[in-house]
Amino acid sequence: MRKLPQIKHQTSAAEVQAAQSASKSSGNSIMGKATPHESAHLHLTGKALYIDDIAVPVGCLHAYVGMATVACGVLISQDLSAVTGADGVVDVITAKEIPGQVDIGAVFAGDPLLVEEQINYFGQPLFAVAATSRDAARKAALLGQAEINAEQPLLTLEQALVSKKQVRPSHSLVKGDCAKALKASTNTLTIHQQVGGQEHFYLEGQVCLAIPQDNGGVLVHTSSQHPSEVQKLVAEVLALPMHKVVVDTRRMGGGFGGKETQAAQWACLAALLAVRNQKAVKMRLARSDDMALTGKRHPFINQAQVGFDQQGQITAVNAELNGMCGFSPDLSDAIVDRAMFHTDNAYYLPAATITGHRWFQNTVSNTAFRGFGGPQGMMLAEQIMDDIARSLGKDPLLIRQANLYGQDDRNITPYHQTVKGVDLQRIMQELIESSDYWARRQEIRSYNQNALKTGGRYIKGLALTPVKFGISFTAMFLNQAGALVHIYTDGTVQVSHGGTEMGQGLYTKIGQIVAAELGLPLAHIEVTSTRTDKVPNTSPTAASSGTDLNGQAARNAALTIKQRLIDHIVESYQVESEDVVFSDGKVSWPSHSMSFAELTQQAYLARISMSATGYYRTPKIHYDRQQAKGNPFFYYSCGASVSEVKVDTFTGTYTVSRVDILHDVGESINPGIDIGQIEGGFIQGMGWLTTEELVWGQDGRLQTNGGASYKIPAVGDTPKQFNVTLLQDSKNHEATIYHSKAVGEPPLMHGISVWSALRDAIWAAGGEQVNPQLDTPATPERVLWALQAAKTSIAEGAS
Amino acid sequence: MHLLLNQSTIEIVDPAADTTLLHWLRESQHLTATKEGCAVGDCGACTVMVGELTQTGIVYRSVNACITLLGSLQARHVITLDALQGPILHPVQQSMVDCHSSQCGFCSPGFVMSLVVWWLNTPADTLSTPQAFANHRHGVELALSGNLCRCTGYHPILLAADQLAPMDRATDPLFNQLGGYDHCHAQLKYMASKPQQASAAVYATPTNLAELALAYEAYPAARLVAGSTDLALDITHGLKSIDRLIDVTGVAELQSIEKRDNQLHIGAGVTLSEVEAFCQNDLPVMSDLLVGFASRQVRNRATLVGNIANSSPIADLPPLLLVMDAQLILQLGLKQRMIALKDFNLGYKQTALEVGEFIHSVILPLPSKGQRVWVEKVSKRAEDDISATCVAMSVTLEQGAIVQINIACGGMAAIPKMANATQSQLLGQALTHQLIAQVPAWLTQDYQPIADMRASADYRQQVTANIIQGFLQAVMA
Repeated sequence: MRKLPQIKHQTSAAEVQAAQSASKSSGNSIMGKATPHESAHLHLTGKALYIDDIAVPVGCLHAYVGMATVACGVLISQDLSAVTGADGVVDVITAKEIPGQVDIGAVFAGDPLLVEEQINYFGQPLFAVAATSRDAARKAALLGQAEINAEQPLLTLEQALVSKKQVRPSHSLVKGDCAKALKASTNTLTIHQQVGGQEHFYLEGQVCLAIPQDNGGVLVHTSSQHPSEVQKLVAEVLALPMHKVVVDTRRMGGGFGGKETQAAQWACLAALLAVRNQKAVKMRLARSDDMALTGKRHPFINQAQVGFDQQGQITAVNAELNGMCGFSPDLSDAIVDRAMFHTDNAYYLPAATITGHRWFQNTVSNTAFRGFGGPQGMMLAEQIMDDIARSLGKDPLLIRQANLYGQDDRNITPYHQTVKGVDLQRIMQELIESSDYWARRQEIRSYNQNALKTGGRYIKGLALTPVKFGISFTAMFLNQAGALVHIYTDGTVQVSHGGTEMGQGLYTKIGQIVAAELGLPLAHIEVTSTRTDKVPNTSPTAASSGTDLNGQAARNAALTIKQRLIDHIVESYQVESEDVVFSDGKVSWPSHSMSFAELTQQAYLARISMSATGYYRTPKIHYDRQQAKGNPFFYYSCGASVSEVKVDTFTGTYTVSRVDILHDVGESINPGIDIGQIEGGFIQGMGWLTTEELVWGQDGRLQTNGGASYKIPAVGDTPKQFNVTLLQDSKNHEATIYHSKAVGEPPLMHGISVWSALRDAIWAAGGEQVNPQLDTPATPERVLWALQAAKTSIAEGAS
Repeated sequence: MHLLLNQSTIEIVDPAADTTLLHWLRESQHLTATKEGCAVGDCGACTVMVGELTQTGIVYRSVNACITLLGSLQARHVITLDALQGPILHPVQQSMVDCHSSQCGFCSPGFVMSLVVWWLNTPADTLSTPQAFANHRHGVELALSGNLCRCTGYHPILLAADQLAPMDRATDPLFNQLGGYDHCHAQLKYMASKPQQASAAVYATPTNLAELALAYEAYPAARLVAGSTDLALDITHGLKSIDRLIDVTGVAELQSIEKRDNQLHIGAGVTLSEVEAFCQNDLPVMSDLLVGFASRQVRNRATLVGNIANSSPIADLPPLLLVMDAQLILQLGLKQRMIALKDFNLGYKQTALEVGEFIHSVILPLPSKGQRVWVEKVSKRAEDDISATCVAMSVTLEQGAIVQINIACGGMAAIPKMANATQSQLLGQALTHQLIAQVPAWLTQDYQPIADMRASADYRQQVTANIIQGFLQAVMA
């Protein structure tokens, strides 16, 4: 007979110590603890394996793509003889060699794996090459000769408006009679703003390793937020049934939305070359190619007519959002929808018409990026607040407070969802006090007046902006998740779930949830890599939903097994099920106690299954897009931030000197991880609106294709004073996992307070006379021109 | 060649000229703790420690493995994160665990290495005063200026460094892992003492001027290299093969920076970090400029002479060197000649160097009495960015009149260039507000900058004028 594992009774001193420290954080007390990231030790010792670190099978090939040298044109023919003949080259493929489907569009068609005929952006892959080394593949990929009938690329909104070319039809949200309300408004203003795009700049670039299997299928390790979609697309491209394809993602070196759909192309190419050659194939893009070939955050051009009363309360908003989508639909329909859903941000709009357009451009197809369009919509709301304040001569904070959604009235959104469980007034008020807003407003005002009087070089600005972000995928069917829990006979547990780990701490939280439910120390829970053969048909890890969905699914799986174990105890020991307690690695009831490991052995011998799946779907959400009415969001995640900036009027450069953020995560599962999301999200949002500038040439080629020209925040950009606080005594009013709230995306939009503070400083530099126009990214150059416009108008006023 | 990799002595026979340290670590040594984030020295994910023998012992510095050439590491100690995988975490690692300093973790190895170098080279400090805390933060920011993180926003990493500041360095476990510092020191000394036939190798490492001159005469088509912080991009980004390189950083005569007769003499092998440290007292304007020059990792490898020889329009040091009337000593074979820096850059990537000639050193006159020198660099990001414009000025005022003035800018023309028209308008004039107001118009005769992804032509022109006017106003005040 096979022996069960020995349960140790003798323990070393070190183990006792480890057990003691573990027991401190075991049982239910693990909830709400700032336990370190599950891979922190691996990260910091360099042992954490990313895909490029996995030891490859013998004979592994390396793939690369040959790229188009025009942004628009028709591919007539290709001469790839030099590629084929280059050193180390083993295989070269074009679209003709794809056995299955060529199109890998995520939701709608339009994304060819390799160009068949129409070239739609500069660098679009025309062919792929496999060679014995990555260097050989990259060098060979430069040798393709393509005959192309080049056409004039469409790059700007103006060109798009003329061409009328959209990747998806326009759509509107309508609440009340906006035109009538605008006509009746005491005051109106018109707003036009350009909001720039953003490169994800995940530190680990796109990478995958495909290994052919003996069943004719393929195992794909990919750095992807959406393994199930990669599985489906690989199967379609290879004309294989899905059960022949296994996709594995242990961890990504950053994702931010950039690996939701954008990882699939490289995985499909590597898988195709792997199966053709029956060799493992690795593909890893160089940074400059990664930046040129993968989609980014959508730039938007927003326009609005706004009506408001003398107190600054909005009466009506007629907004038009122009999302610049690039060459294909990808996720743009949902992204522009989310921008429209967030054009109100935290503010009540009594009447509103919000229209979103999805324009075609000859660039890479813009894609998901933390916030998923929401930030671009919110930018309009925040400019509206600032502009109303300037036109009435009031502090923008007062206008923001006056327009916040109410608790019991003034709480219907433009898509007719009632805002519930959100106390924006409280968040704003607490932050005003903790950041000492009004006293600092006075200080800054006198500093600026003195600077203007004495010709001082620097000017300061201050702004407080709120964030209200809707939680749920707006594509209803994605709001589901699965998990698989195994318990072994030494009492240790494996958990698999559909979410992916990109640094956000999802695996850590899942581990905490299962540990808490089973009363085990965290060390007894192993959260395994995300694999399509463990949990099928999963949703992307996106929309801040990772913990909400997968946490519930994992909890449900754990509860299923726990119930079986309880039933076993009830039967064997004649106790009441409610008297059985799982805690501190033990299971106890009034008369007895045993270790969890002993229980698992008993259960095994009693032939009880200790493996279970768990499933979850979000309740209460529904949305009728035709009518543009419903409850697309389960709940809202909220917070507010105050930023103070100091601007150099000679150069337009600036520093962010102090930032205070108060954010509501409900009952935090792990405050260490949640605060990390808030801090990191803020800095990423600040970068988006300040130094991160994407520049394309007239030929449609991305000019800012590396870290030397595209500037994400560096260590010195972190505010010298940076206070991040979680809203206390808060609990999600909906039955989310432990009443926590999603935290991945919402904090990014706290970066808007930096942009608003820059506008505040420019307003001050113009003697509080000129409402500055400041498109984003608000680079030093844009700030300088805005300062100049403000100063010119003072000078004109004086003369 | 020989190098010490963590605790292993490794012999490499005639390494290819264009093998990078990162490629060698990951592909030949199968050490994957060191990550590739960009392969061009912009992100710091590949940061490793490199120790070099000096008179006093081994000095360790952080470098980007992706743009460091393997051939340059003769008798060096390369320490990667693989050396810090022992059972007990290093204080830097422990502090980063405690402070939630890693999220996706891909940049973490680079941050650990940068912080370990900082830890080794910085005395403990209790941070008991606001000034001490500010200095500490500044030091940490300098140490991490070349490490990008996209997840954390850096705050938890800074907090980890705050916790480390007061800790006792004597207990550093790193060298326990490596067999002790003395052991490493002895090994490097032994390697350095072995005779090398280094001048003829495809990655040639001459050790004295005569060898360098001979090697360059023998292979005039070879490229000279020091830190390879720009040249390596031809390999990793440009996908070019490089057959032969001659490294000047081992040439004994070119390694010194000295102050003589109120002049700085800076050899071709002197790194920017060395210049930065040396100039703290004698020429703080230089040290301040260097703080905003690339990153700590790049300054640890790049040289001042390389910044001149590379002849880039956006080189940040030439404007300052130009306004200080720097002279270059050039050498061809055994013959030396002197040339003013202003006559050296002839055009975009073109210099006055003859075939086989190299820059021996730079002579930099320190400011004379009454002379004031400024330099200011403007870029989108304060750290590790390329200038939109870099403006330098030296001026001497006597009784309210300008008796000497030099103005030079980088990023404004095909070469770092002096503003001759503006200077001649200002020279000899009484410094008044009216005079200063005319500067922008004069500058348009000196510069017609280009527009690119960094800035528009108008912005460059405007900001350059604003800064020069600001300097002149400060002189007046």
